Amino acid sequence: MISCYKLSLIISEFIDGELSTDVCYDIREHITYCPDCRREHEQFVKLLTFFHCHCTLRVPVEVHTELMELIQEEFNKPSEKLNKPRKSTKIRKKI
Amino acid sequence: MQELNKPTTLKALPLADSELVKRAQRGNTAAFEELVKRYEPKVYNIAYRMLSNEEEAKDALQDTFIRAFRFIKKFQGGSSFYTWLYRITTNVCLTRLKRRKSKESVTVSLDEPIQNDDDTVRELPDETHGPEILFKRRQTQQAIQNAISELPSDYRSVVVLRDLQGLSNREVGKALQLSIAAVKSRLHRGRVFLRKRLSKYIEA
Repeated sequence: MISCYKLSLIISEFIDGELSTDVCYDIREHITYCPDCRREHEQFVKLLTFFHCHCTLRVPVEVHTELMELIQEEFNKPSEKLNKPRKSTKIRKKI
Repeated sequence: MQELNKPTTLKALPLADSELVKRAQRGNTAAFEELVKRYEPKVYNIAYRMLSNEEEAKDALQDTFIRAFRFIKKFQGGSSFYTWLYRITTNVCLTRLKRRKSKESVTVSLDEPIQNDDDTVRELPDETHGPEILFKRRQTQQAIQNAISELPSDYRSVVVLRDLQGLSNREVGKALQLSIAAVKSRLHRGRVFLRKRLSKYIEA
């Protein structure tokens, strides 16, 4: 029988489906009877669900346009300049 | 007739990344633009999650693609293009975080809101939900971002790539030049940290 401590160390791998069938079986059995570990498992699963539901951000259209202008400028530069250090770290144009 | 003259080749048949990379290496900017279109949302999301600042994320997005454009001829295809691109992205972000840290010794406060220009939350609008649910989602999203911004940068890059961008452990390892064991370890510690920080939302 797997201990609560051992389970707490490998719970991420269990959720990611990276453990052997035997170990998974032990964990499932453990969380059936251990309310604390069951709660911990449920919280991890919910955390990952949160990430999947809440993390898509849009790229502002003007940023894409500026970027393509900058790339075109890069393309038009003579090739020997490509390895030179940049003048400024702030390359995005201010609107 | 005008329609026929449009350069539709790249749009009509979606090319594999490897083919677009080959074309971009030969100086085809249209091919590079296709790669930009394909990956800028991912790069922007990684940058925003890493930096917790919209303006900096925009700068990091542009910095990443400019670097990729400059060095694409050196890309040899040992890994997938996006793994290479995400490595550039995380390096750009980590450099910015280091620079920021050297400027200000104070880390992000628990109570400090996410820095947005116009106080809006940049998520895809979900019109199937009412204003209350949307408000809750915004609150949760802000809490997630606050919690992520408190993660040590080494854990943050792993969590962002693995859990928010959906890369495999192997891909994260390649992107960050870490062993799979190191990825798993950092991922687990990062998740434990976030679970504690977000317990209020998780238990609700």
